[in-house]
Amino acid sequence: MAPFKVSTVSLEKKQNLRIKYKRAPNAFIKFFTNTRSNRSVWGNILLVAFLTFLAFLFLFPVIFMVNNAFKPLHELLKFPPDIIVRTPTLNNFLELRVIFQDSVIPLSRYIFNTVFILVIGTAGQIIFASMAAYPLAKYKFFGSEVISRIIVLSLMFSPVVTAVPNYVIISKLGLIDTYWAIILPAFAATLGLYLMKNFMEQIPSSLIEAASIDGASEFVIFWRVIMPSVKPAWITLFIVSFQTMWGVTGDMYIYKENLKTFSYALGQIARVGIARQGVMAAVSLIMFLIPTITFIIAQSNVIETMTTSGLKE
Amino acid sequence: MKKTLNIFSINRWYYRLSLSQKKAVWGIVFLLPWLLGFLLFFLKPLIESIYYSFNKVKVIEGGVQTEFIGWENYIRAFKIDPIFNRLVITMVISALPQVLVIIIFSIIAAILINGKYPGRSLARTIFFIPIIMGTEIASTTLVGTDLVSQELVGGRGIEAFSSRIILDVLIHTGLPTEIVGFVSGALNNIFFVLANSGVPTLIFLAGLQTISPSLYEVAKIEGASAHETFWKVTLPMLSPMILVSTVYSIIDRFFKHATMIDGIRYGMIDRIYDIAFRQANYGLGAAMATVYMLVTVFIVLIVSLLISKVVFYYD
Repeated sequence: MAPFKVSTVSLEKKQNLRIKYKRAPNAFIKFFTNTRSNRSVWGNILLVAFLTFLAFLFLFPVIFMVNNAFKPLHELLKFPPDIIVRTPTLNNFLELRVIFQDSVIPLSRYIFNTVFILVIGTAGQIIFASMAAYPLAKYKFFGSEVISRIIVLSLMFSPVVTAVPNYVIISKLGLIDTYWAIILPAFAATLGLYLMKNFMEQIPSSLIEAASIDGASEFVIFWRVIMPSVKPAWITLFIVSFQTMWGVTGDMYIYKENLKTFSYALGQIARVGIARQGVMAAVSLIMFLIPTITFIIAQSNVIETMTTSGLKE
Repeated sequence: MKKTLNIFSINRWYYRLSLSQKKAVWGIVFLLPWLLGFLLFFLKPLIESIYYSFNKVKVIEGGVQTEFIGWENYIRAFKIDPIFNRLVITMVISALPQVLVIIIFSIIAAILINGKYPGRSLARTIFFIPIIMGTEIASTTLVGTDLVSQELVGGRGIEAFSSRIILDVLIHTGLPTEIVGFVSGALNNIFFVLANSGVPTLIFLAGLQTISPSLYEVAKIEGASAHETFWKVTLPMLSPMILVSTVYSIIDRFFKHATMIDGIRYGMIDRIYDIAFRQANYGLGAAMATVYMLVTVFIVLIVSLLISKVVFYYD
């Protein structure tokens, strides 16, 4: 009898120990991943280590960039470069301000141009792409198949070569030296439509039928049923579109200096050469920060709304 | 009086249509603003540029002058141009494995950053960084404008920058050059995948967020393991997005394709731009662009046919 009892006690102890050993790191990991804990402990630790490694690889250039913006010139030109700044200064930004004070066109004008193009271009691209994607995804009518095919086809053509015909059309429409030369072609971008169409195809048709039985008009269905249920898609489109519109220089269509964009002005300043290395570092930090901040805001918006509404049945 | 009559007649006309006809009318109304822009700013230039590829094009004041020469531009692109045919072949061969790795990596990345944990918006932001790093200004600051450093690492933006720093460090340690070359080559590949998986990851992330939580609840109640849940719920629901991301990645890869030929770096788009504008041979450039498009169409068609066999759609 005795040996049996002893062995059970030790087994229990062992099991308790194992549970203790297993749970302690898992609680820690669970805090980070929120997965069910039937994955092995070492698997989880490996995963977090791998992710941290990736995050480091991603963050490394950013750290370098931020530090660069605050480096004095002699530190910038050092080889091999230091990652962390030794004597941080604001000189680079001050110099940038001086350059803009000296320029004929005030800084606010460049910023206004960029904001105007960004807001109208991005909003229009999302609205028109979604409006066009809805019938293509959910209706069948004469020509809808052909249009879908052409869209995918047009994604594959290099925009470099359409530059000359594009210029001819835009100048014939009298759009040279206006914001619309940049904004109108952005409305017709196909990538957004392709993305939206693919997301809308996943919405069950029964949802649309239910709405129309309840008496919703087509426009109400689009605005109140379709658009909320593909919110992650158009937020993604917003991020991508903001990113491209932010970088637009428009130097092909806009020649008047007071209509040029902020990123064009920054690019011109940075392109002068080695003497403006410091200003260039400041410029690239600004160019980097604004899309990043937009991304953070847009993404947190997705998180808040989408966790509650998965509309796929 | 006349006006009201007109409205009534439109109304009557509309109500006489069948349901599918009504839907078609609405479909066209929804499609029209985009379609107009598309025809004007995309389709017309596209067709014109295909037309130019069969012509000798001279840009004159107020337009262009064309002279029909048949297939000559295409023959020149393949037979006389020393770079173009090699660019096309390396483009197709190198892109396909790259796209496969990018897609697998971005699915994993999207699932990882979709979980609920504190600081996930930070995690998402970190994964978004490569997209911004790919832009022109960021990459010129990071890599430097001097040609030596660009040629040394043979890349742009985040990939080039990071491997350059690591290359510097490795050379200073005094390791044999073979090892340095191998390590930096491997790292280059990692950075390459990271730098190109930004948009696919975003697409997958959006795709994951439209999957209903109730599906996961059901899977949990039925006793499915995490492994089974992934293969039987997540992946089928994501499969349309796999198609989208693959098409996007192939096009993106082809667009950014560049290769070393005889020690000089040539990019596909740069080459076309060079021929069309710097050498002022617009017809030849247009012919190259058309070939480039046809190759892309062919590859995308095959790949999407293969993928759409396994894509799962609702109703």
